[in-house]
Formats: sequence, C-alpha cells, structure tokens
Amino acid sequence: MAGVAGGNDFQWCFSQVKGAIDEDVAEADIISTVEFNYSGELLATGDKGGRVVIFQHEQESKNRPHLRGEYNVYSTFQSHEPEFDYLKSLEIEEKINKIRWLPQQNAAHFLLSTNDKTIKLWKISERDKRAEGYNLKYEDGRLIDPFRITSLRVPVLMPMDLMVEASPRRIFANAHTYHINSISVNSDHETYLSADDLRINLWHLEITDRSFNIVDIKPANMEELTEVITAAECHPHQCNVFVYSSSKGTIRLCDMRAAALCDRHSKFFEEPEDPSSRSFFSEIISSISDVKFSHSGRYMMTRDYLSVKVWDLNMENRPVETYQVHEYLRSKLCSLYENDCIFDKFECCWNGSDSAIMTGSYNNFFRMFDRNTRRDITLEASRESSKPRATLKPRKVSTGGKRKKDEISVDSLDFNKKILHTAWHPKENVIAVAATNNLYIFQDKIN
Amino acid sequence: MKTHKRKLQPESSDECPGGSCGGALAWERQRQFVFSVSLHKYQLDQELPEPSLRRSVLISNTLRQVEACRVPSHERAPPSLISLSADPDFTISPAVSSILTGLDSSLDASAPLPQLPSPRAALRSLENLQDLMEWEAGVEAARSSYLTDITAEDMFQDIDTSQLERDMGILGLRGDGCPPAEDLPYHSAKGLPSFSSFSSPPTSFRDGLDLEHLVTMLVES
Repeated sequence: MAGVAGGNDFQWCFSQVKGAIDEDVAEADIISTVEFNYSGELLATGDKGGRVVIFQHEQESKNRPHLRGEYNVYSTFQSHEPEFDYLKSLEIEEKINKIRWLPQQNAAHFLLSTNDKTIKLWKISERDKRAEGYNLKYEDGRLIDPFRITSLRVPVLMPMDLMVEASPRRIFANAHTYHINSISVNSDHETYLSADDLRINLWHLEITDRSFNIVDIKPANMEELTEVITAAECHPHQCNVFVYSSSKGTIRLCDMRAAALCDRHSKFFEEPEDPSSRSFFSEIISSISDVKFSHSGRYMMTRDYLSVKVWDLNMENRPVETYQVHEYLRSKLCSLYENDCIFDKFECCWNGSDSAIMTGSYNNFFRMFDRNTRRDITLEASRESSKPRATLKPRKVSTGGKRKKDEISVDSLDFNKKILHTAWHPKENVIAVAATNNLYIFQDKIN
Repeated sequence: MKTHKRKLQPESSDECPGGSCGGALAWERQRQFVFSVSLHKYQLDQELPEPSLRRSVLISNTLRQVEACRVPSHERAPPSLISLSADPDFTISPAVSSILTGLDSSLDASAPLPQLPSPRAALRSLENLQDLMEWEAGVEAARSSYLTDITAEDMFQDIDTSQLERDMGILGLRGDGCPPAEDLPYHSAKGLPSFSSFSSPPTSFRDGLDLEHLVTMLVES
C-alpha cells in the first residue's frame, strides 16, 4: 500500500461528511465509536444518544471513476436506551461505548454494541421480497375462514422495496459492576470478551445468562486500588490469547489455556520511564487509552496521551516504534490537567496492510504515520476543507517562537474539537474520522 | 451544546523539578497548584453519583505523588520526584483511600438523584502566578495570625458547629454507633472538609475530628 504522507502516488482527499452543520451540537449526536466491518462494505457509528447508524458502501459510479463509491445510510436504530438502576439509584447512560462487527457468515450482518453495562447482539438483515398468495390469510393479514378455502396454492415471492431491519438477537446484561470500556470478538467466532475497569468477562455468543470472569484486578480492599483496566482485545488469530492495558501504561498478554482465571499474565509489556521527562503528570499521560493488534497478529499498538507505540509481541521490555502525536502539549500538561483534557481517551487504528497507523488529536487534527518511510502527516477534518475531491492540505503546529504561514500556534488550538475515534477500511485507503457530531470520510485520490 | 473555542494560556514549560527548570520556588508553586487542583477535582467528583473509576484513580495517585513530594519548609529544596512508595507514613493515603472506598460503597448504597457537576474552571496560566501569590499571601497571613496564639476554637468561632456535628455524625466520626465509613453513601460529606483525615490513620474515622490537626493542615497546605 502506498505511503500516507503525500508524495507522487498518494494523496488524501475529502469524500463525504455526515451529520448536522449547526454550531450548536446536541449532546446525543456526539459520535462515540466508529467501526468498519470485515469487508469494509459497512461502516457503523454509535453516538451518545444510544443510536447506531450504519452506512453502506455503494459501487463506483461510472461518471466518477476516479473516486471510490460513497457511503450512504443503510440502517439506523436505537441500540440502547437510558436506564435507571433502582437498586443503586444510578443512571446508566445510553452512550454507545463500542461497536464490533462479527464476521459475516450468511446474508445477514451481525454486530455487538455496548454501553456502560449491557452488550447487545444485533442482526441487520435485508428484505427485498415478500410472499404473496397465502392460503390462510388475505394480503392485508386478515385470516380467511377455513371453510371458504376450496383450493390450495403455493405462495410466490414478489419483489418489494428494499427494507433493512435491525433486530436485537441477544442481550448480555448484569455481568459488569463497573463501566464497560471494551468488547472484542474472538477469532473462533463463537466467543467474545468484555472488559470494564476492574474485570474482563468471556461470553459465548449464544449464551446470555452467564459469562466467565477471566480477569479480576479488584483488590480485596479498595483502598489499595491504584490501577484500572483501560482496554482489552482478543488476538486476531490465536483464540486463546488476549491483551489488556492499564492506567499505568502497562499491557498484559494472557493465555486462556494457562488457567481459568488469567490474573497472572503470560507477558508483561512496559517501557521504562525516562527520568528526564518525569513530571507530576507522568502516570496520567502514560495511561493507555487504546490497544489494537495488527492484522498480522505479530504486533500491537497502544495509545497513551502523547504518543502511539508499536510493540512486538516477542519483546516485552520496550516498544519497537514510538510515534509522537502532539509532543508540543507536554509543556501544557498543567493546563490540560486543569481543564480535564488530559483524561481524554484517544483511539488508534491500523491500515489493512499494517504499514500505517492513524490516531486523532485536538483542533480536529488527526495524524497518520507510515511505518516504512517513517513519514508522518497531520490532516484536519473541517467543513472549510470539505469540498468534493479536495485534496487535504497537511497541517502543522508551530512550536517555536516564529510561526510560519499556514501554521497554527499551540495556544490557538481548539481543545473542544477532538478526534477521539477513527477507523481505517480493512482493504482500501478509505478512512472514517469522527469529529464531535460529524463523520468525515476521506479517501486517496487514485492517480 | 454550544461550543466555543477554548485556548491554552501561555504557561511555564517548567514541568520538571530541579534547578535547571526554574528553581525550587517554581517547582513548589507547581506542586501546590497541582495539589489544589487535584483536591478540587476530588471534591467535584464527590458530587457525582458515579464518577469515573479511571479518573478517580489517576487523580488519587497524583495526590499521593504530590503529597509525597512535599518537604518541610525548613528543608525546602528541589527534591527529585519519587515514585509512589508503600511508605505507611503517607499522610494523604487515608483521604485518598476514602475516595476509592467511597467509589466501591456507592455501588452498594443508595444515593440521591444525580446532580449537575460544577462547570469546569477556565484554563489558567501557570505563569499567571498572581492567583497563586495572592493565595500564598493569604496563607502567610493565616500562619502569622496562628502564631499569635489564636486557639483553634477562635478560628472556628463563626462556623455553625451544629451543621458540623451533624455531618460528623453522618461520617461516623462520633463513636455513637454511626455506620462505618465503608458503608456510607458516596457523597455524604457535603461541606465537610474531608482532607481532615489526611493527618489521621484510617481507623480515626471513629475516633473523632481533631480540630487542631485540621487547622494545621489548612495552614500548611
């Protein structure tokens, strides 16, 4: 796959933007998760209002062969509703924390969506035919008096307008005391894991009334709690392996064959701290907000507040690659702590060939890093540069005293505009970037 | 939700301790700033019915770290930051522990309906040390008045102790059979400075509030 940072053979350009243009953003419309399915044909988003919107990739148009097809709305449904836990007098938010697709096995599509407490399996299916000519009922549904039936006929299937139906097939509830931060489908396509702040559970997709607790880091005395689970993921090929990250910047790889309870890790990944950069906020910025295996399964990537790190699963003592996302913020950590931005949880993603990685930043900037050429690029998701087929201009943040033309100073960054969720098409150079309540889709310009 | 651009104020880049980064005074100011901000966040989180566990743990760890770096005034020099140790003499541990215990107890105990959290403070510049300097001046004034033999009772003369006594009863600070701290609703201590427990071991919840200790902590912090 071609490099990400520009050059003669590759350029990112605007394709589409979804969502309202209003300056006043409704809280419920804020996108909280973005995920392509395994083929890239479908793109799902979840929002704070508990809704899931699925876009479908339509084929290229003959009129615009230089662009891949567009994504249009395929299905919209309310996945989660706000709930009230009467026992604890606590409100349970309907915000969709994560969506994960299941591998497609038949004509229907399945996905898992979760809020803080409950995971749901949804079936999305198409109906473009309907049966006509029933023997026992009229077309409007009224039953026919059996004594009036004098002959039998075989109902025939007639075409109808395409209807996409989303129906909840399973509800996995009451297994998490703390807030769910991750779900991950296992490579066996039968099980999946869900992780909250202190525990990880293993489910079978067919069984909703029980799950196996495989990790529990809750101390007997909560006064001793100094670390929480921040993310977890199943290995893409080895169904016995999963990893989970912590608020102290560590990653533990566990093998479910070793023991029923995987409190003891098989591998422990941690980079020694650089004493010269130590500050009061060292631990907070080391907290890992996302962990993703590469498609190959050989590497994993972690995102902390200032950087993205690529780890070789065979080397635990340090990452093999480190990419600085916005190092210019290191001198601003005091302010970012005060305004809570330091607690923002950025996600990261691989491209289909694992040659590039992407993550978000502030001011609606997002960053891409080419692992082969070591080049990086900063792009912006903004309405101003959202002209059809417009090539995105690289952005730069000035850190020195003199600001060049087209650069933006650190003090001018808008910390309300944060790109927390991004997704990369599994096969093509198409990316989806969530900017608050808007979903931007960019793709490379095929030359 | 109307959005407006928030900008960072220019702040000192002296995030690290040590003489090469601006001196002991700047470092101590930053430590105190981080301490006060952390405490403020902790108190805000107590208003929430179910605060984020990750956030609470990170704030409490930061509080521990900041308190661990505190040096007596006569020894004030830029120490190197030490990582959190298992030193049982950490005076902040009991209060920090109360955060986490309260988090756990909130899952079992009933609590009133959620309240709106206070709006976040606007960004402040560390170099805009006017606020800090005024605060320090206030601390100095309090310290000097403390040194002129004002008793603890005099300092709290204007405080309505009836409210204080009721809250102390809620927290189980009086040994009259009130429930232990672990079983209490998460945010029962409105208005009562919970950092009073900084100077006390965890078991002192039942032993009563030592006003002299409270005054000492207020002045020193």
